[in-house]
Amino acid sequence: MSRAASKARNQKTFRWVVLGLVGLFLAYPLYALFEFSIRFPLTGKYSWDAWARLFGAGDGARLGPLYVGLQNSLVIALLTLTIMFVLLLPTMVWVRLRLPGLTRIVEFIVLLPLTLPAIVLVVGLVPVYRFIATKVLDTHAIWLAFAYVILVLPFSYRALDSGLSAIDVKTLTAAARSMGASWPTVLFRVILPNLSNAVASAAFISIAVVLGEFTIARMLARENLQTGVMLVNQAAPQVAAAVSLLTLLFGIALLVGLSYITSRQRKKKVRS
Amino acid sequence: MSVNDSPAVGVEMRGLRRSFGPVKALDNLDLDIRPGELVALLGPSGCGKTTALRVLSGLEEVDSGTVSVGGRDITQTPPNKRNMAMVFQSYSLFPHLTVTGNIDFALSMRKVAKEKRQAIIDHHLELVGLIAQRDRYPHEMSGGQQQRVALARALASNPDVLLLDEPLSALDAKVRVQLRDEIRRIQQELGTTTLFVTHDQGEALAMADRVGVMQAGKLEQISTPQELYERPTTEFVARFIGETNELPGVVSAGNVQIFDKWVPALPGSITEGRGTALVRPERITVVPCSEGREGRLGTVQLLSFQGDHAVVHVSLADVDQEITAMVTARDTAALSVGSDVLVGLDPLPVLVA
Repeated sequence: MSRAASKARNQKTFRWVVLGLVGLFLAYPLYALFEFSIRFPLTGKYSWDAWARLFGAGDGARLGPLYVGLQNSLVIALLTLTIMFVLLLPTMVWVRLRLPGLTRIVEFIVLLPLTLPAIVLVVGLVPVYRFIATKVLDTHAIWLAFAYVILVLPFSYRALDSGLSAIDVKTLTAAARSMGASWPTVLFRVILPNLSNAVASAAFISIAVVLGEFTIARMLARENLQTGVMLVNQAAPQVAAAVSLLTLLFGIALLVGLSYITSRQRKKKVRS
Repeated sequence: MSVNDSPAVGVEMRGLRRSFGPVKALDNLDLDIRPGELVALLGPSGCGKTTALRVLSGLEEVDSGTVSVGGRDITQTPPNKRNMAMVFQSYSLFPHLTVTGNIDFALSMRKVAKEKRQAIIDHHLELVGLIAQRDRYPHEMSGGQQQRVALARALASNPDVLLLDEPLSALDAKVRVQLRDEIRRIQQELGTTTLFVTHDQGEALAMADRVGVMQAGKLEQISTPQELYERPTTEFVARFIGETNELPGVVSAGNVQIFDKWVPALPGSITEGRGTALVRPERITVVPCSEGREGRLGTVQLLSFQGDHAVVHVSLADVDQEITAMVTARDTAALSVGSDVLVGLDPLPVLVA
């Protein structure tokens, strides 16, 4: 066997070993969570009881906070995505077209939440939410979406920015405008269809962030999926473990989907 | 076939001014385009030619001045209400739409009835020779094909004015010449009023009915390609278009003395005294030394054969100057590097700066 072939084989083996170790590192906690959900800690007896209860068989009352939290989190995710896209997309397109000098400032503002710990953010948000709850809206958990928009901004911005960089926004807009397209037509029929992958990436990562958020909801005393999990954890820890596992798997599925979409986007770009 | 068969309209741009900070991109620009005419704007980078085109399209606003199309003032009209179409330097096809989809988009923007669109699309794809590629996506096509589709898309909606913003400059030389001739053929066939912006004088001279040369936001001269080349009215135009020899001359009473010979001075020349005559290489004659011939004595320094003609570099015997001349291929037979020659001048008018 030639030296080159042996080197290639060694590299391949090394890659698989590293991948295996990283996989193990990530998968073991999930496995532990799964085992905890099916093995009663005191007796060591295995049973699917927690999973059965989670999917409807048994005491719905004790799992109430979980369902309410899940429902709230899904509505919050939807609301967050809507506000984020409405806010971010036209702003980013406009900055690219007309105010390129503001790019750095906009980038700084949207990336700022990354540098602020959630607990610090809450200190600022408490008076805002007190005002919202008493003067403008009410104490419903779905209004957490306003705070979550701030949290997801850095991630969504990155995804949309790479999508916008992949197309010639200025020329496409000028072409469409000269053909008679209005600004909404330019946005919805020219820019957005070419950003579908970036929009999907931004949406996935935002959903993952919203479903996993605990600190702000807890500190502002609102119910979302994670606070629900925590409450159920006290009453039925095995069910809480099952829910946590499902949420984690959902998040991982979203991120794998995201990575698949972006790699496809890259391949498409290389081909063209 | 097109959206409607309305007659071609003319364009009037009056006193256009546009500044970007301290830079005057347009400085009191006046430009007329007659109905059905193709006018090329030519000039060095930053002369304001693209700004003029973008102002006409509505993509750029003016500080002052007016733009009229077909006698209607459209200075304040947004670009989407101007009924113009543009082909850009960079590829501007919508990546998510096929060739058909791209042209269909343009037609839908002009509110063309759905049942009429397919026939219009097919007609324009035939015009640019891409009917077989109708279902392809832009990334599946070459640069030249994409620009052809962009041209078809622009023409399909039957614009009042077609705007071409250096559409050939991203293409390789061979495709550029092909597409250049094709654009001219189609434009003449359809009679669409067209403004074409380029920095390539070959393109401008080959395609346009009239060529406008711009410098520092101003139109230096606008004339037919031939007149622009043979009768430049400013020093900038004479130097910018084609090659020139700078020969010392003395102007008096509308004539200039060069090489002991008097030739007429073009309008725009200095009126009296010493100056620099700007003479095209093909106006210089180079013949071997022999009895009975007139001219200044010189020596051939370089002979560059170009197929149908040759470029000859001659250094004059009595002054330290090298002259470039263009001679026909037949006349080069008698010339060789190092041979003594007589340099003469055609008695046609020249510009003296």
